Amino acid sequence: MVTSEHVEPSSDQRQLDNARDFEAAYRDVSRSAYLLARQIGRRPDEARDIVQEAALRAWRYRTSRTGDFRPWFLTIVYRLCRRPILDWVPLPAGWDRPITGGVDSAMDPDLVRALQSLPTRQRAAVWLRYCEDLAISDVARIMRVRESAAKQLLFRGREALRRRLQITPTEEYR
Amino acid sequence: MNPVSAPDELERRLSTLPISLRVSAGDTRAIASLQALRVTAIRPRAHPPQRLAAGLAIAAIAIVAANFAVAYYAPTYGQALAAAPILGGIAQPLLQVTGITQANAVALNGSATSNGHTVQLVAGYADGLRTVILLEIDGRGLTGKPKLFGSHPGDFSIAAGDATLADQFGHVYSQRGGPGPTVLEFEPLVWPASKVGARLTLHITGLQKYWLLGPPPPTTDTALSGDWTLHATMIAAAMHDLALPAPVRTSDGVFSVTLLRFTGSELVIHWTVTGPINDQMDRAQYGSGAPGWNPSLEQLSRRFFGLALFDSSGTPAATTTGSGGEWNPGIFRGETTVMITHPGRYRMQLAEGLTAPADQRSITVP
Repeated sequence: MVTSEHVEPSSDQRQLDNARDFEAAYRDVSRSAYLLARQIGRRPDEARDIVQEAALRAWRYRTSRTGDFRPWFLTIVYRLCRRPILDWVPLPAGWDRPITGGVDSAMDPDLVRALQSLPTRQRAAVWLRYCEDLAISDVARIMRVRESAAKQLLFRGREALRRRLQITPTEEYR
Repeated sequence: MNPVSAPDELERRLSTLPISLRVSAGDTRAIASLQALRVTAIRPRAHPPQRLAAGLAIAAIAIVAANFAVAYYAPTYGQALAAAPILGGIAQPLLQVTGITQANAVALNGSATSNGHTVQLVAGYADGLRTVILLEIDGRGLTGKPKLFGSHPGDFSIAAGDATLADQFGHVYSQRGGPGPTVLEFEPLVWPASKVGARLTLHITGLQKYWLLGPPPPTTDTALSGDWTLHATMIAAAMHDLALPAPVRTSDGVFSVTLLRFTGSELVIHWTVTGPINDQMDRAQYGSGAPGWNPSLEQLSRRFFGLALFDSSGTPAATTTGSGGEWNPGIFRGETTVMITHPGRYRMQLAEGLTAPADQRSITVP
């Protein structure tokens, strides 16, 4: 009789294998993923394609996930967004509309405008940290940088926002 | 002991921003469609024996089916595509961006009117990579100068999410946006429509007032709802793989082409870069103390990670959707799709920095 060694998957992995759980986790993060892609500068159709592709990849490689679903999925989205794209065919000017983040704030429109003026990586870091309420370690993981680099990006982003919004930092934030 | 510090004004405003964030209507629609996505319902392709068995079963059914049914479900059988392609009226820049030529497109007929506006099919193209439909709205969208489209009231477009495409077998194709406001691109036809021809139904539920889009933000609603249903018949162009050129080996690395797939209008090129250049990229990214994208990384990327194809006159073949790739430890995998406007011999330069004659490769596109 031939026997094969079978390793029981962890309870976490069993949970991921469950399609319903996967889809629930995906639904929870899809809005964040889409808005992240938009913040990185992708157009609405591109952002939608990226999140769809990320969803397919996540489903396909779900057993290789480590850590929470949310930062893991956002990592895939961020990576897809940052793929080098060489647009060798310039589109007619009328079709190349300036990219906006697709968000606004009734309470603080100046902050949204200032946020959109940041360089892409700083904007992504600030967005993930404050709008998605992620830990710095998760921001670093998503952006594939060291934590010190994520902190530096956040620091620079905040400094740029302060300059733009003409906010004087308190002593402890200098 | 240091007391808990109060956040400064910026920290406070950033922290409260998520509460007051408003997402635009278009983005809200896109998010809703993403949340409706059922990734887990996508099944892997059947194994070849199963597909063969399924094909045989369907073939047997087709033999006994009535001729009219075959002609309907298999447009290639009914020779429904007798109409000659007519692209004369379409702006040339639009055709260049779309990658569609007189030779590979098919003229489409059919129009529908709703809410006072007429949508008319003009042309289409399908291959193993995409399904493209060109249409006009109230007679506009494909003619004239593309740059000026959107500058006049009455220039309508179709936003992603406002159009669905289904074939005669009920398969619904996802829209991928499109290179122009009235050029819709969907995912490629799937079997069996990809084999027997597709009778497609395009359903449009809304138009966008294109002249109101873009900055400054519109003060009025830019969407115009309606119900337009159009029918088109298309046959997917066959794809085949071409012979791969030999790798280029330099002191910087090994540049190899791993796939050359020709669709009839496009050439899909998969390529890899291995060797010391990847270590240089790592050092450029992480070695300077300022991780991330920086000028030296940009310079290396441009010099060693961009493939180009030139025709016999030295004109570069244009990419359709740009090119991309990803770095994994020790290897870069790139993918480039270029438009092929004419058959012949092409020179392939596997990286911008590979300029020596010995580093050039040539391929023949039928």
